[in-house]
This record gives sequence, structure tokens and C-alpha cells, in this order.
Amino acid sequence: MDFALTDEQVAFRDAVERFGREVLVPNWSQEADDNNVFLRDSWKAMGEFGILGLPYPVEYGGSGASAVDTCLAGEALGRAGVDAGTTLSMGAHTILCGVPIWKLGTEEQKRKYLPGLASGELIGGFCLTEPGSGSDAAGMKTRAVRDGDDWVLNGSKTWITNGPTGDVFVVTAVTAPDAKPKAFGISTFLVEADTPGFRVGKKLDKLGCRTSPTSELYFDDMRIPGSALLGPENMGFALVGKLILGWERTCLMSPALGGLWHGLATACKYMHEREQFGRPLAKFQALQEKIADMRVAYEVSWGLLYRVADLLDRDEPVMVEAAILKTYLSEASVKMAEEVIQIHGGYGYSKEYLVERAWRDSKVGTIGAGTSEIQRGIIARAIGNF
Amino acid sequence: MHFSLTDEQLAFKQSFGRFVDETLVARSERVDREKVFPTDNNKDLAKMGYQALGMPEEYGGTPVDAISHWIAQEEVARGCASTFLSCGASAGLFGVPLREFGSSEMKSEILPGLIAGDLVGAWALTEPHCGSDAAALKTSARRTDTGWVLNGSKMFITNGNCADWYIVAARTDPEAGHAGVSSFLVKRGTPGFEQGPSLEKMGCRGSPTSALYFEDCEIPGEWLLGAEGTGFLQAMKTLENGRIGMAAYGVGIAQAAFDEALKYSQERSAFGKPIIKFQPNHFKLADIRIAIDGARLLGMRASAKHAEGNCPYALYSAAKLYGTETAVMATDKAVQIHGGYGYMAEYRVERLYRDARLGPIGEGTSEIQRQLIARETLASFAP
Repeated sequence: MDFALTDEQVAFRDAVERFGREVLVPNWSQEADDNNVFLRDSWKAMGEFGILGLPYPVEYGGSGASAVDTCLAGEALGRAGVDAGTTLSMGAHTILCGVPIWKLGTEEQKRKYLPGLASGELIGGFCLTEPGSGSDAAGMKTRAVRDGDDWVLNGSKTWITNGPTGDVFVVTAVTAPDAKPKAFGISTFLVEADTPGFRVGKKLDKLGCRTSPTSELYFDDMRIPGSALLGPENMGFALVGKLILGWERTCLMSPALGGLWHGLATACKYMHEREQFGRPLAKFQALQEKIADMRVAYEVSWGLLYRVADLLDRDEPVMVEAAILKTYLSEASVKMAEEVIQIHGGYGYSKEYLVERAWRDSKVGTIGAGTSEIQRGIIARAIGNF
Repeated sequence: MHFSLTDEQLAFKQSFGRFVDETLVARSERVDREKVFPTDNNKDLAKMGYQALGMPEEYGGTPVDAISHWIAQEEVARGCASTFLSCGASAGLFGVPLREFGSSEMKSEILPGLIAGDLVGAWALTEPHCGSDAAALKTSARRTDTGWVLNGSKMFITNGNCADWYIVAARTDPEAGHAGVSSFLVKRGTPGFEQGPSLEKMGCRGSPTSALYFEDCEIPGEWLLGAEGTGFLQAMKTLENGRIGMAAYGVGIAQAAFDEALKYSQERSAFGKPIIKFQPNHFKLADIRIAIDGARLLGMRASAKHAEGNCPYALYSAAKLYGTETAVMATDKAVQIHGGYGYMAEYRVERLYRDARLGPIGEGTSEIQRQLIARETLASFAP
């Protein structure tokens, strides 16, 4: 066990935090949040800063960063107070779209997409959920049928992060409808948004993460070449589950760890400034206890997050550890964001202070990438071997 | 950054864990029922080298890395909370300040016996009227020509009536607040020093707890531990170790509860299937596992940072707070999974539930921990 960061890691994290605070945070506005506006200036800046392709190998335009360093960057953005819409879009792009291409793609696929994803010229997304299948992801209906060398896709997807803005998507579809279990009859494909038959459905209005555009996607007799198959036929779901969900539940969640710290810092500063009954809020024990609980939640989450990142870097299984992290961190984020509002009282309930946004943004954590209930099921089945 | 145990640490965990299963777990029901200090456990742990961990080699100690020390403590707590508490009070709360602040004469006299399990130590800070507000203690130490005279009483002292040596915090300057507290070694049998009977407790019944009484108790000058007026600082240093110990206490008990709940829920059937198959039950197991992993990583990190000498106060307290509250949550859920059987003394979870409840009270209540964490955190964001 070695819990220490190297000096380089600390310097890297600090540099990313500064970038987030000085460049990304000012791009956000209440108006953009109200109107579900994607922050293109932030996206461009992230591409130039080099944060959109961190874990990919250098030869494909990435930085070859470890999972630990990728998480440090995510944590740093959260600490800086970057809105979770921005970090969610980044996560769907860098992790959900890019990591499967990096891990499962052919040389040609990697050369074609990774440099553009890393620079931000391309925007990526990942399509799993459908109107009729959320937690029961393998129950999807979208069908991919071979036609000569091509594939023809029909179906629809929903809750697709970067759906309205994306250029390339990793799409899951059923290729062997009779397979048992169903998970072994699903393949993944690389789909470009300008393909005939690809249609962006209505943009979805959400509780939080509002600068991250979400939509339905429709595939109507959408023909894609055989070279668009990503990874082995019928094994897409299983491999994505194995390779990607660990990254998703860790690196994609890492901004939430920083968000816990940011909420803690915001609450502490307010408690020093605000006075009631003739003394600063910081002097009231009931509020001090909330600060203590937030600090504990941050410290517990820290260990759980970097443990999974370290396991990923050593190619060890992370299924259970990632589920543990994801459940704890996401639930702590919602609870603590609520406490930060409580500390701010009426001001917290208003939009003037961003703590209300943090609470709305946090809620996606217990739902996306496998609900808390699905995570507990994963943990329990592993524990009980059933 | 590296989050795995080394091969040596893994092997140690396995072999020590086997010893714990065969001795401490096997005797834990008896220890609780008899309500006396488990001398056999203390001796057997000494044979395994438990009390030697982290003690100077010249007195029979063994150097140990922070993670292995954590593992040993967690395993002992998993096996028998009473034993953990009594041996921890002896080797830790008593042994650590003696190691840190004692003269070489006193260390030579006591440490070898303590490490061998032949002597038992106790640490006396709390008084009937002051627990959390430790600096309000009233037991007095007055200087004489040859040493000191102690007067006053102590409360809730682990090993209170079975220890050979005690470290007693007493006031040497009534006007000086924190700086007016000093600590003293006191030997059992010293005239004017009496021990009260064992107090009846909810849990940890095999670890005797009692009051101590000092009435014109004369002790020699060399029993002053460290410098005069540093007693409170010593106590705070001692509690750094103690808090990591209590974090391990919580995680160990939680692990025992988890193991019992898992086994029972796989064996017990209802409505035609093992009860683990029901979501409300296996979600409980998942919740226990989440908290145990979080608490263990936090405790190990505090332990590692403590050994490096750079552990923030908030981290000691966070480890203690979360570890002990995890034990309360875990044992509560484990009892629930056992249903009526969990309420019966015949099942181990009934005892674990009682034992766990000490955690949020002993060695700094949860309220005190939260105050310490908040104070340090708020200070780091002060304008």
C-alpha cells in the first residue's frame, strides 16, 4: 500500500485545476445552463489543453496517461468548480467513446478516430440505453443485420450524452437475437453522425448537467460498412462491460470526487463569512458536523476511487471495487450537495449561489452508468457467489 | 500509488488470521460470558508477537510497517473485541506513551514484561465528571520532598482492576488548564491506590472496566512520565495511536458481522430459496461491504501517514469516526439478517452488536471526532 502522490502528479493535478478555474469556469453562465447550451469554447479549450484524450497512447494523439492520472485530472476539474455538464460530456467522449476504440479497435479505427477525439475536433458518444431498456441493458431491441459486407441498423437509443452534438458514436446492437444469455448476442459499431438513416431525436431537458446535451438517436435502415464493427462480433456487450465500465465508473466519476471537495470549500467559506446571532456560522456545532461528514465522505471516496484506478492500471479485475466506489461516491455527492444547500439556507435555494446547481448535477451519479441498485446487485452477487 | 498488500503482508494476514480463528474467535463466547480479563488470549497474542509490534527491539519489540500493524489490529478486533480492547489498552494506550515519554529505567522495568504478556497496563484519563472535556480533570498530584501525592478518582478505566501498571493523568497546576496536567506511572499495590469492582457493561464484557481511587497515594519522583505539564499533550499523542486502533476495532467487528451475515443468509432458506437471494438482504450485505472497504482504506491510509509522521488530525478522526460507525451499522444489519436468531445470545452477531456500540463512544466520542475534523477543515479555508 502506497497512498502518496508523486510531486509530478501533484503538479499535474494543480495545473489542471488552474486550467479549470481560469479557463472553463468563466465559460459557464446561468443562461447557458437554463437553455441547455453546450459550451463549445470550453470544449475547444479542453482539446487544446490536451485533456480530451489523456489515457490514449501518444501515437494516437493522446498523452498515455494512467487511469490514476486521468482520475487526478477529473478530480482537479471538480475541485475547480467546473460544472458537471462539461465534465459529463468529456467523460462520455473520452471514456465511453474513446476507450472502447482504444482498447478494442483495429489499427485503422484507432488512426481514424482517436486523434480527432483527443484534439476535440470530433465529439464522441456511447449508445447503450434504449427507451425500453435501462438497467436491463442486454434487453435492447436495436438490431444490426448483415447485408453483404455491410451492416444495416434499425432501432433507437435514448439518454445519449453528446447525442445532439456528436460526430461519432459507439453503438451497441443485437446481432444474434437467439443468444443465451442475451449479452453474448450484442455487438458494438462505430457510427458517424452523417450516415444516411442516422437521425437525432429531440433534445432532452434534464434536472442537471444541463450544458451536456442529451438526446434520443434513431437508426432507420442505417447502412454502415463492415469495417465499422468494433471488436469481435457478438462480444461487444461483454467486452464493453468488462473493459469499459471499470473506466466509466472510475474516471468518469472522478470529477464528482473533486466536486465533493469543491462543495466542502464553498460551504466552509460561506460559514466563515455569514453571521447569525452575532457570530459566524462556522461557530455553530450543528453546521460543523455537516462539514465533518463531508470531509469524511471525501476521504472515504478518495481511497475507493484511487484504488480502482490503480487496479485498472495493473489490468486487474475491478468489477466489484468499481461498483463499491460508484455507489458510495455518487450517493455521498447527492447527500453532501444537499447539505451544502442547507448550510447556505435561502441563498442555497436560490440560483445566485451555484450550490443549487451542484445538487441538481450530482443526481445523475446514482442513475447513470448503472443505477445504485444495479451496483448493489453486482456487489452482492460477487459476495454471495450467486 | 499502489493499493495492494505485498506478498509478505498477505501471508501475514492469512497466518495471523488463522491464529485468530483458532484462538480468539473460538474463545470469544466464553470471554464475554466470564467477564474476566482473558489472560490466555493475552499470553497467546504475546507468543504471536502482537504486543511487540512497533516496540523498541532492545525491550523485546519488533519493528513493523504501518499496514501490517493495521492488519494485526483489525484481525484481533475481528476475533474478540474484549481482547482487542484489553490488549490494546495495555500495549497501546499504556505501552505507547511509556515508549514515547518514559525514562530508560522505567522502560527497562516494564516494557519487556508488557511485551511478553506477563504484565498488563492501563491508561487513566477519564474521571466521573469529565469524559470528552478531558482537560477538566481534577485528580491532583502534589509535589513532596521525595515525589508526588495523588488524590482523586478515575472512571471507565479499561483493565482498571487487573493491570499491574497504570499511567494516570493528574493536575499538577490547578491554574494552568491544559498545561497544568502531567502524567504518572503508578504501580498496583501502591498504598492509597484502590481499584473499584468491574462495571457491568453492554459489550466488551471480557475486558474489565472499573473506577480507580487515589487517596494520599505517595509515589516516587521517577514515576513522573515525561516533563511536568506535558500530560495533556501526551494524551493527545497517545490518542493518535488510539484512534487508528479504534478504527481497526470498528473494521474488524464489521468484518466479523459481515462474515456471519453472509454465511447465515446463504444457509437459511425462506419462501423456498436462500434468503441471500432476496434483494433487501443482499443489498444489506452490499452496504456493509461498501462501508468496510471505505473504512479499511481510510484506516490504512491514516496508519501509513501516521508512521510517516504527516497524518492530519482530521484523518485520524475520520478513520475513527467512520470505522466505528461502520461497525454499528454493519452489526445492526447483520442482526436483522439473522431475524429472531440474531436477537439470541447463542448467535455471535448478538455479541458483535453489543461490542460495536463502544466504538462511537470510547477514545473520543463521534461528536468530538466531528468537532476535530470540522475545526481543521474550516481552518484550512479561513479567510
